[in-house]
Order: sequence, then C-alpha cells, then structure tokens
Amino acid sequence: MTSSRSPQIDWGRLLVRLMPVAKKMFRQSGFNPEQALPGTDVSAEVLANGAAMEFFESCQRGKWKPKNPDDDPFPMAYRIMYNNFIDVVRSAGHKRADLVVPTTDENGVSLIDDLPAFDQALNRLLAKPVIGVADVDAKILAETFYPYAEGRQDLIDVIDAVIYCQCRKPSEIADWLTSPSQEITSEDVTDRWQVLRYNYTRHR
Amino acid sequence: MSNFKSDKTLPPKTAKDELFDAVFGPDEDISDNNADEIMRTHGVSREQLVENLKIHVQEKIKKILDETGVIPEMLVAMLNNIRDYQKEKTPKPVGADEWVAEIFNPASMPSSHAQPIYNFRSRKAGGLSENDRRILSELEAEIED
Repeated sequence: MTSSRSPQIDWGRLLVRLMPVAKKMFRQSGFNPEQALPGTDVSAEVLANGAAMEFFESCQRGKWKPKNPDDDPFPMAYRIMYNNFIDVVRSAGHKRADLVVPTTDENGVSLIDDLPAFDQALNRLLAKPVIGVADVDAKILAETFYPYAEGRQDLIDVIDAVIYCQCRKPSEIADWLTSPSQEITSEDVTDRWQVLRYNYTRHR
Repeated sequence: MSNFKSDKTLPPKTAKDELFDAVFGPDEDISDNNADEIMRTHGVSREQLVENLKIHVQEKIKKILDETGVIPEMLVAMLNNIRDYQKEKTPKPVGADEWVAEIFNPASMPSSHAQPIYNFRSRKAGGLSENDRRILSELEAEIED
C-alpha cells in the first residue's frame, strides 16, 4: 500500500524532465553525462534518481502536499537536484580547485591560458564586457553555440542577442530581435529556447 | 500551485550558468514534450526511466538492509508508490472471451474504425448460404442413394 501521507506521483512525467536537465548540467559543467563525476559514483541518472528519492522523502515529511492532482512536483525536485549537483561538484572539485581558482601560478604565469578557449573567452568577456561584432571573445563564445542552431537563422539570432548584446531575459532578447517588419514576443523566444535546448541536450 | 517553499536557498548561478540559461532557457522551464523528445533521442522511454528508478530503490533497500539489518521504511513506501504508479499505467488485461466479443460486436466499434464484416451464422439458426445449402442438399442426396 502507498503511504497515506504520500500522494501518487506521476513518476514518468517527473523523471522524463529531470533526466535531460541532469544531462545538461553535466555537459554544461564539462562532464560526460554517461559517466560518473570524477572521484564519485554519481552519473546523470544517479543524480536524477537521487533527487527523486529525496523528493519522495520530502513528501513523506509533508514538505510537498499537492492541493490538486495537477500540481507539478518538478520545481521542488529540480531544486533538490540542482543543490545536490552543486554539492557533488564542489566536493569532487576540492582537489582541483587550487588549480582552477587562482589566475596565476606561483611564478606569476597566467593559468587562464591553459583553460579551454570557451572558458578563456568567457572569463575575459565577463571581466570587460564589450559589445560589438568585432570582439574576438564574443565571437568565440558565439561560435561555440552556433552548432546547436543547426543552421536556423532564428536560433542564431537568439545566440547573437545573448552574446553580443548581453541580453539575458526573454523579454530583452525579444526586444532586441524585434524589427519593424517582424515582432518577436517573449513566447517566441521561449519556443526557440526549447529547440536550442533539444539540439544541445541530444548531442552526446 | 503546490505549497512547496524551498528550505534551501539555491546557490547563486555562475556567470556561465546564466549564459547557458540565456541561450537554452532556464532548466526549470523545460516542457514535457521537449523532455520526451530529448529522451527519445537517447532511446529511453518514460516507462524505462521509472523501471530504472524502481531498480535503483530496490538496490538501495537491499544495501541498507544488508549493512544495518533495518528495513528503510521510507524507501519501501517509495517502492510501493512506484509499483502503484506502474500498475495504474499498465493497460487493463482483457479476457479472451471479452476480447473476441468486442471484435465481433459492431455496436462497440466506433464508426471511424473500419473493420471487415464477418457473416457468421450457426446451423441451429439455419443460417446457411446458398452455396452451403446446395452442398448440403447434394450430400443428403448421396446418403439417400
């Protein structure tokens, strides 16, 4: 029998969203989602399942009580998973944190130069944001994301708005993309995000 | 909306996280359809994900039981919850008689559902076709001869 305190959870609907997000977290942090994080036994699947288990425990403790059957457990489970991922990455990264955090070694030589081009570009861009298509760092970042647009100009436009114009919110991106001939709404941006996410996450 | 209020403050997102969110959309906003499509490209269905979770929970229960000798009630409750869910999602079994009756009952079929029409008639009801009646007559004549 199901515990009287725990509601029936639509596990399929919950897991099918947790799993791609877990995979994206891994990829975004430079890890292979099909493998465990270095120094741990946590893969993307273990992370998602762990979040589901912790979520259920929260249900048992009465932290999540749906008021109607359509209440979505995903936001809470996502927060659990995100927190767990940060915790695991931090714990696994302690040994290499000494190598990553300082920007110079004991001899004063820049360690940034040893980072991948993407991270170098991101660090420099954040240190000195420059808007303009000629900016080399912005171009490196944009080129990194372009493959996920798979040639679609409307998706490339979103990437350009983010990289070259520092837009972050859908409304900002929509405003930047709107022209006299075409109005772009926040919903349009959200739709394009879904396609970009799909393209990014399905790449292995 | 649920009554959930996070008891943990989410760690602040890094600049890289914010950049990825701006390009791909926040993870919190992933849609069911998009998630289904993504997992389909990995060859994984919802049912498989639930089954994997069930196995994961079963293994965890066994491990805790082996190590401590105590049955973890919370995990057992979760396992039962998953089993209930799977039962609910499994198509209801249909008995053979019921299945056959449904096939040959035109009233139970939607009009859009095109099916061949079978003309079954029992001998008790005298339901023989002209051809059958002719064959039967010939046989009866042979016997009488």
